[in-house]
Amino acid sequence: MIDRNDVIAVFSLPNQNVLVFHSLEFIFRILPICLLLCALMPGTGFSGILLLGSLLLYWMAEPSLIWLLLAVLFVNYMLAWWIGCCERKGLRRFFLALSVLCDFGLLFGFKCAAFPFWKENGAMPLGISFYIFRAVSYVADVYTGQSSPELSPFKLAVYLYMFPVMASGPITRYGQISVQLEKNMSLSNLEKGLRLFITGLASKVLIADRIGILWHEIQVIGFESISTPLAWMGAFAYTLMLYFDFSGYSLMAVGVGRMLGLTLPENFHYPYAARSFTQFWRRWHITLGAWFRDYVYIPLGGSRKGRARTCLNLLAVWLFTGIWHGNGWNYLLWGLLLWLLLTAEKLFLSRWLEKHRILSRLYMLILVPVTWIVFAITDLKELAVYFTRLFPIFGVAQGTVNGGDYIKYGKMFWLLFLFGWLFSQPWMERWYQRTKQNLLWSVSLLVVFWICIYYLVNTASNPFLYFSF
Amino acid sequence: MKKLFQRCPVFLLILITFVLFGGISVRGEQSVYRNIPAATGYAPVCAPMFKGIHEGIYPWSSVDCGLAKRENESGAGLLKAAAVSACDDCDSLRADMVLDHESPGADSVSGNGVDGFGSVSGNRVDGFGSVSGNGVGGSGSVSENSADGLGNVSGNDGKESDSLSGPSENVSGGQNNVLDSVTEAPVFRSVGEDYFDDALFIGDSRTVGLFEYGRIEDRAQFYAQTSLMIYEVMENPKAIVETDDERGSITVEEALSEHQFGKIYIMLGLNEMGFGTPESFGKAYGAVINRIRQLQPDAVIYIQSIMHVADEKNRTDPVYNNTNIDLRNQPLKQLADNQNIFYLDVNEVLCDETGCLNSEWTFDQVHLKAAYYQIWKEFLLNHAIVRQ
Repeated sequence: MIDRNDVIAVFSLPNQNVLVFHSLEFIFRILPICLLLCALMPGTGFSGILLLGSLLLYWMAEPSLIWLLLAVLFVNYMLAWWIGCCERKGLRRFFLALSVLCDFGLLFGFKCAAFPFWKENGAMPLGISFYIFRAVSYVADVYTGQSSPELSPFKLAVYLYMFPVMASGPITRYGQISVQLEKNMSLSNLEKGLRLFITGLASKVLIADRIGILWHEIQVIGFESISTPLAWMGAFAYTLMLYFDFSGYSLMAVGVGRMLGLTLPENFHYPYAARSFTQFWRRWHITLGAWFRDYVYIPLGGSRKGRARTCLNLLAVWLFTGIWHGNGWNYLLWGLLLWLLLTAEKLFLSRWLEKHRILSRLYMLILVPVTWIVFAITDLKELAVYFTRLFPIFGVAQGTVNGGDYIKYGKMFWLLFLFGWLFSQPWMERWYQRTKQNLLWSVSLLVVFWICIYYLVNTASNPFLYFSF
Repeated sequence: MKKLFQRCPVFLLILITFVLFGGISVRGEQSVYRNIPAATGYAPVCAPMFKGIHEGIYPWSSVDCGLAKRENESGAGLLKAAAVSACDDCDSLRADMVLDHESPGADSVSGNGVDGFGSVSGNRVDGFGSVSGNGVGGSGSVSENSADGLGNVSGNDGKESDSLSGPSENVSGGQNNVLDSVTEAPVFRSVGEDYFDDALFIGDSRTVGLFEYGRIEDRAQFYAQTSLMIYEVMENPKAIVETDDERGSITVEEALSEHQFGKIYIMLGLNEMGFGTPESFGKAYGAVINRIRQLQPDAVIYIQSIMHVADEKNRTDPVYNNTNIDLRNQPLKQLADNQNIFYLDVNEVLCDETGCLNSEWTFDQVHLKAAYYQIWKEFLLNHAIVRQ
């Protein structure tokens, strides 16, 4: 039996970083090795090596749960197969229900830390929220006849577990991937993928991580002691951090996929340029939103069964979305808040928002950070304190507020806020699409890449360097 | 080749620069980068070059410069390597290195390590002359109104306040005793905030926090900066002490030569944990205290214990834990002569029963939340030496 530590020693890899795209291990070891192996492999072995590599990486990152992948694969493979074979509607339904029950039972079991063997670990198993959703969408697609059941368990495993989408999505559909399992690697794909990867890396390392410092600082100060302007700065900082962190990660995933010759779906499309929450949620984490639309909202009847029923369906979707994001009460609250806003927009607000360009932007500018604050602060008491700071009419500050704090942080972070705002709007990409052949873009991307590496090297290596108090 | 370049320019550029940077790093490892510590985890072959740049050692820097910098860094003692001055681009050195400008904060405790964060020092340096020379200026202000101040902290140090009320009665009579006998424990009294009118605080980011949230910034002076260390506190050229005149900023040593204080509070030592030993740390600390004594003969000098970290960090951090902090607090205690130099253990009031920084009072396990700096301040006000 091979010991995992031996494998890790051979590659001299710290385990947790092998599936983290913005780690030096991934950029300088895993990615080149994977690309090289896939490139050298003749066409027929492409999906095989992809699967093998993905499982190996998962084993390094989450060693105790590799069997879970196999179990999920087995259950969904069998049930989808039976659904495909079976003629009787009731039985097909039963199989579908069984697979949904198994998958979500597993997901909620881990979410609520119900499994004794996993209890001490606390964190969710790597990627489970994502591969369970991929599995359910596959079985549901087979049930509705959109896909035919996959006869090769290996191909199904590639769809479920391929490493570009393993850790954090995008949540692909079976139909998108099954047609792409032929080898399609090329230099132009490599170049395109690399450009996406660098853009994503820069979003994460140069913007999200750095503006995250402000959010961290505010927590160090304690919410009860921040001034109202600083509370708003913190809300904006978190808003930008979350966007650049997640969209950057998704972009890196799409980039890795592209380098391998796979076209993965876009996950973010400038949500902060949206002028209503309805638009916003079509542009934020697109693949998750589409999943909830196709597998929850529409099966419940969507908007075809009258107003009241539509609102109820939306409520189900948003409560589910809230729970999916975490197991704190604040996530439920966040889901409810979004449901309220979206229902209001559906009923009357959106007509008004469409007419008023500036007011609709202002509406988003204020409410988006507020919803993210509800998302960010898991302790409800602390959340209430933060709201008294955001809206001082709710209560007086209890702590020691330094009234000038926002000036200090404003001086430190204004440039990042500016960059964050600029890059969350679509103009840059439009410009790029027109002039992408220009050598200046290549050189800029090169420089940005090495700046990212500079930050990564200097934050990861020397433990003393970054410990300063 | 040209066609290839047109098809994948970014990829080729990265490949070429990677080979280039890797070559520079490998070649430099025997010379300029020799003293850059090896990475603990995985690092790409080009990592030494980037680490070097971070420390001000560029690929074109001379070999001497690189080595001098690193030796400076090893931090065992007061660093004054002669070689440094010979090297042009070495000025940023040590201070920059420890103070991280662009820490990604998310997973490390270094959230505070942001450039410019700390420099809170006296905008009022010049105007400060009014108290200078009057080293015991605060003594008149021993007020009984400190009672209300006491109430604030009593929750966590009832014992403290009891012991205070006792001795404070005979202070007026027995003050001379205190000053005369070296062996006797110091008699601390409770005083009002005006005690800080001629006080100076020297310290790292924790003292910066006291400046920002202690509500004494209008009374006391602060020569404090994030990541400040005892090894460099006197001569660090960074803008620790800002002046109103054309000099812009001066070192702590210069500032102490220009202005006299009645009390000097110091808390340093956490950033130094990765450098030197408790002995070398104690020696360096002693040297700084001696120098301050020379410059400020009339001041009461308070050495504050290095504040503990909270439980989780104490359990998980191999370096910044309370065992190591206590090892370094030990030599600090020895520095007190209870005549002019006093040791104050702030952990008495800031820690819970397990001896860790109260975890309710901190987010990052290291710094107090803003609201709790009052507890530290009250502790100082309850442990004041009053000279006649």
